[in-house]
Amino acid sequence: MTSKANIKYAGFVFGMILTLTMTTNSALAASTCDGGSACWQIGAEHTISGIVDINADVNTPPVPTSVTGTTLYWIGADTVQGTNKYLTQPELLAVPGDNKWRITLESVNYANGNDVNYYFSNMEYSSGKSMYMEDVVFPVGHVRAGQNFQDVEDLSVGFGASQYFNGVTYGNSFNKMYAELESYDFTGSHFSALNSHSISFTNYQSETTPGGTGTLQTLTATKWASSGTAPSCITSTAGSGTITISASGC
Amino acid sequence: MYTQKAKGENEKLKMNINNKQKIVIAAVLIMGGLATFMTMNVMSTQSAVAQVADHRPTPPEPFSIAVNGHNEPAIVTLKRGQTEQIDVLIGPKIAGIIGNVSVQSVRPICGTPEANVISKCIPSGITAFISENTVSATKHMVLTITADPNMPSGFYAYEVTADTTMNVPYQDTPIHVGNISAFGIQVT
Repeated sequence: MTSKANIKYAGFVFGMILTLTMTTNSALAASTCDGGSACWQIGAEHTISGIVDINADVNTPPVPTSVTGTTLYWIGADTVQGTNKYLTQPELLAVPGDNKWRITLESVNYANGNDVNYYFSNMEYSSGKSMYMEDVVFPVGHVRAGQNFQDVEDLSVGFGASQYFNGVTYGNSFNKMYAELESYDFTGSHFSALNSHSISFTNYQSETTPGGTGTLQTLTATKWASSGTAPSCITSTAGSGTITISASGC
Repeated sequence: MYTQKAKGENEKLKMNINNKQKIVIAAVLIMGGLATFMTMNVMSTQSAVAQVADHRPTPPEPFSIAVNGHNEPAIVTLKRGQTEQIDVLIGPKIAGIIGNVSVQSVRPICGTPEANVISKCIPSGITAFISENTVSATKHMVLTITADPNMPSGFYAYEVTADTTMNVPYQDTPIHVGNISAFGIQVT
């Protein structure tokens, strides 16, 4: 009896440890934070296939001037080439000192959470602006195959920043799309400027073929943190072609 | 017989104890190994988080670019059929780096292979060239832009880019990092 009890106990503990290990690894693999830092993302995502172009309109909310960690919002997508998986993300980066959102373009290698491309622009915006974001990879046989094109434009004046990234070889289609507010600051009260305001991604669409017609996408609202917990005062909802990230009581 | 039986029982008992000991030792070894593995995983995650605090590493900004004397986006007015030369002051912010310099429209030109995939494009009819393609020290370059007589009037987004590849202390692989200076061409 004692021997059987020992075996049962050992089996139970073994099972618990195995489950815990698998759960932890699964959660860590769900997304990425640059350089292994701890971050959270609130927004939406959707698994796709064969997509070459995603684009959306988005507004600029008040800048969270008291944030102490890097904060940005972006559309983006995953693309795989061989054993490499990249996240490409045209974005607006909070610059608390300037009280502005700055256009930056970025791609990250999932394998190590490190940047492979990072471009600063000279375009900064306060709240109340309408912007356009686009993220593209090119199909097999295209003259730009293996590259990634990112574009963020100011829809009121028309200035913009775009770039063809070719530092690494990207895939020929996207397989997961995102719209996220991302931060490395876990203190909810630091986002008080966003109270009663929202980041609204609208007209979020994708295209499967070059020159094809855009299709509005319905993403699934998500809240994720690599460790710790994302602020409970920020939430997201998603509908057809829309993702709204709202703050209340931060 | 009694002695032999007692000896047999004794041997059986020893074997039973040995089996129990083996099971317990094996279980302890498996659990110990897994616990060590888990501890190493958790510790490495925690130490990575602790090293970077609450900031994400961002590469240093490599270049400064001023188009027509403006660090912020500027608008250059150009009449159809005319050519303008614009000053571009460009230089590295980090000593020793060499950058590639280029000028391009933000959206692709309609009718090109790029425009078959990217959602928005601009009509052909503007040409833009910059006098030098690399920069290693702050210098003035000449941006020459021309609008064809048939170019539709309107606002067109352009950009000057300077980029390079550099190693940064917080990651193993080099990073492609650059600056984009937006400007607009108003064709009248």
